[in-house]
Amino acid sequence: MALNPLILTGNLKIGTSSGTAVDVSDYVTAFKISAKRDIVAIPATFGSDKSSRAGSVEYELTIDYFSNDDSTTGLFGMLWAAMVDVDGDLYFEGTFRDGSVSSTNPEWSGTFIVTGAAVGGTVAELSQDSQTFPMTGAPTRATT
Amino acid sequence: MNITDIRLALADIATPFGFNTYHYIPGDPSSPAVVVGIPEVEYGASLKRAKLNVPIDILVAMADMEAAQSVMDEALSTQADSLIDAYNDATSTAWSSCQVIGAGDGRVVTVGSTAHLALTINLTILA
Repeated sequence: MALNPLILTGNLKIGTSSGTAVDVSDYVTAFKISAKRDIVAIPATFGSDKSSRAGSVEYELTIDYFSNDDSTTGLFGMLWAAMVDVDGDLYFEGTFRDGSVSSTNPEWSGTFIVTGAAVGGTVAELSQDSQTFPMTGAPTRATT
Repeated sequence: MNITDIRLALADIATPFGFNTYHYIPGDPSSPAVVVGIPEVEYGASLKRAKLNVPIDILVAMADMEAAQSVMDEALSTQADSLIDAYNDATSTAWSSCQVIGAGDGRVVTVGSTAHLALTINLTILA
């Protein structure tokens, strides 16, 4: 099977809902969806060795971005607003490649909980931030 | 991102400071001159933006060395309303951000038929 490496060139939209999500691609320098599973350890007994079983799965969204406080509608502005919101969650949708959504360029979407946001940094350098947010559930992978 | 628009806008910023400005590398510039050099472009700074490192060369004819270096000193100084101040955080529709990251490389160069004292201001632009 031919290798078709993924090189990140897509887009990312974020908002309070799918209908209000805006393109924040200008700000985004890295965008990653990940899943990790807990391991349930089962102690050894007189009759069986110590073993493990699959536990629950947690999904995360990682975003590295240019952080700028010049607007409440930019990426940092939306994350900051979510931080002072009781629910603190935002909707996202995006692809990892340019072009239309297809079976080879799926669109990922879901809801994540904003657990942090930062602005500022080193003198005479771009203000950047990196955050990893837990999702409220498994993301959707759409191909149309 | 349009590099010609960026170089034009960068040249225009230096015009009020009494320089002859060039958004291209001229064959025989009039002194004192600000020449916007050819940028190095790093694509993919973000999903939709590129990062450009742009050299701005200042050229001053060496007929009067003290006067030439006075022009250089003023160009590199950071008092209010200075050239460096103008480039730092300059706004334009051609870019998202503009920042002076350093200056130096003082040297003597012969451009056209004239020896010039030269130095370079280095900018980083996100566009």
